[in-house]
Amino acid sequence: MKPYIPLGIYLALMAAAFAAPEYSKLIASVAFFMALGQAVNIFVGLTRYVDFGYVAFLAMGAYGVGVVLTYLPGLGLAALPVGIALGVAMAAALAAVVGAIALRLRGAYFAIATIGVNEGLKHLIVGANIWGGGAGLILSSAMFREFGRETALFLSTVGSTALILFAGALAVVAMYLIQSGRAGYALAAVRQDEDAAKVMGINPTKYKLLAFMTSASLSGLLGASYFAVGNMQVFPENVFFIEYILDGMAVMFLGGAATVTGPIVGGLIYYFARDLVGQVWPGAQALVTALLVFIIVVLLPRGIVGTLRLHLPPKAREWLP
Amino acid sequence: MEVIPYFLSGLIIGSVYGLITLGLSLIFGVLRVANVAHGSFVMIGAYVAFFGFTLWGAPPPAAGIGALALGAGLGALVYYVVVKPLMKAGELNILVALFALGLLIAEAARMAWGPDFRGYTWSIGSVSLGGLVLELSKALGALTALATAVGLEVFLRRTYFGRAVRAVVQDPVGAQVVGIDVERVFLLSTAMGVGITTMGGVMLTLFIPVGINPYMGGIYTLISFVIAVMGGLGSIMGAYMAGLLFGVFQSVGYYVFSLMGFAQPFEMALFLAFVLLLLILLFKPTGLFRL
Repeated sequence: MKPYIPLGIYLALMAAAFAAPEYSKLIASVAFFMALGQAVNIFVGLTRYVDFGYVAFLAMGAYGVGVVLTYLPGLGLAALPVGIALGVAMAAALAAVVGAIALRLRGAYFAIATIGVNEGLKHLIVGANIWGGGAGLILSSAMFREFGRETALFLSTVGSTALILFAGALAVVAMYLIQSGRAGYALAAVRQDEDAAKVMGINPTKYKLLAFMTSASLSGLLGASYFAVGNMQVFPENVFFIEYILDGMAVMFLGGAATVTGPIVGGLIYYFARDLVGQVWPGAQALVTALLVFIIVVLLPRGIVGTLRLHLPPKAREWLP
Repeated sequence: MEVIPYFLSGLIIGSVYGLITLGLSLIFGVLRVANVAHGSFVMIGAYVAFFGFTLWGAPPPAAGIGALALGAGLGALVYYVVVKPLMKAGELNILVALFALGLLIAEAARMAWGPDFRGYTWSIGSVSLGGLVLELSKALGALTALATAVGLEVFLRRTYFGRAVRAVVQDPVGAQVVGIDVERVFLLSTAMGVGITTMGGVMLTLFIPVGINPYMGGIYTLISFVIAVMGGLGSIMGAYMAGLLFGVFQSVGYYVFSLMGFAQPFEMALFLAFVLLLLILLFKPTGLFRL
């Protein structure tokens, strides 16, 4: 397996964002779907578990940056890395807690356990009125103060785009490392037959948790880059928006679950399909998304790249992981 | 004791929560499928009640019967279109397809009926009970729920088909060996499960005067799963009893949180529901009751 093509695409997009800043918002929108699918894929694709509370990881990332900017003034430019680190750490910690409890359970029970995570955290933030409560955190003035106006504007456009692409590229590397190492074989064995894998001395929960926390951390980075840095605001209704998990799974299934190139192909098609629907039939994007996921899952369960790989000679397959 | 009215009203709404959960638990018990589109069927039931009442003047009990029939039809459709073709493809595909179906229904409802909150009031008087002014419509909803739960349990124990369902729950392969048409049991269980859920949606509207909207289902998916897990997934009476318990928990929780001075006590009660779900799955994944 050679991850150079997907990595090359992310690098090329990053170069494009710097060379043509006026297109950076467009690139960010496409890249958000790619990177989300890529991150979701590391968990859902590799373990075949589905987490309906996944959006909470995006939210944790966004709140990490939001909280540091709002409650720790005076850090200057350091607020950005500190905030992102906090966001990623909160996402990873949430994944550790939920995973340690629920990943021991079989698929359906895990899915049920995660149904409440997203809504539950949203209700906690709104109900206990923490981190701005239902009104959210508005970061633009804090970003202007800490970074200076020019830098803040640059960060919210080109900077945010570059961070999103970085998250996507990092997900490619993580997927490559997991799949080509011991964990990849262990996860493949667990996917095929968990009991048999256990008998062979594999600890399924350990590897599932590894994939879960990796995936969650990357989504935390993505949430921080897209919502907090890119939009300069964190609203509970936005960052806990349940449809993002459907977006992530649509991108993943469209491209091909457990493939590395899949989310790039899926993200591209998905973004432009939604954009087209939005122009032809405004307000129907979510309807079409749900329909699309439904059709892919029923009719093309391997996805585009997954199906393509079946028909490629082994040499070429190496290059299209 | 100021808490008694909260306790009583918790029992009343808890009965309807139990009703909403019966179908979810039945489908999980028989097919081992977690119906994550559950809340959307509750929402459809709520709209049946609303349009039945405002367009034709149909009282909610009549709407309940209509919703039961409509829901059963939808359930059969879901079985043939989603569950049956994906049984072999595996759990992940079914779960994702059902989740997408749930959002699809919600979005279709928004496009057809608009995003506004709607509601209606059906007044048939009230009685005073232990410091609580109880509207008779709510009492009727709670009693319907109780009757449905008991009826379903009797049906599963006393009829041939009911015994066939229980046989499939215990051992699908064994049931097939002794000549039970497992696929028919799957079909009828899905139809009944979704039918009861839609009817539950009708009864729920008696408690939420202005809460009918296309996206209302999400929270009831969560509540129903908490209750189903509390009662032991697949257990009918367990689901009903857990519904009562959850209603009391939510209502008394609301009272306690407002005493503690939280600005949004209802939101906090919902957060606790989710914590409860994780705790039960951690310590007692088979449910709290032995029924």
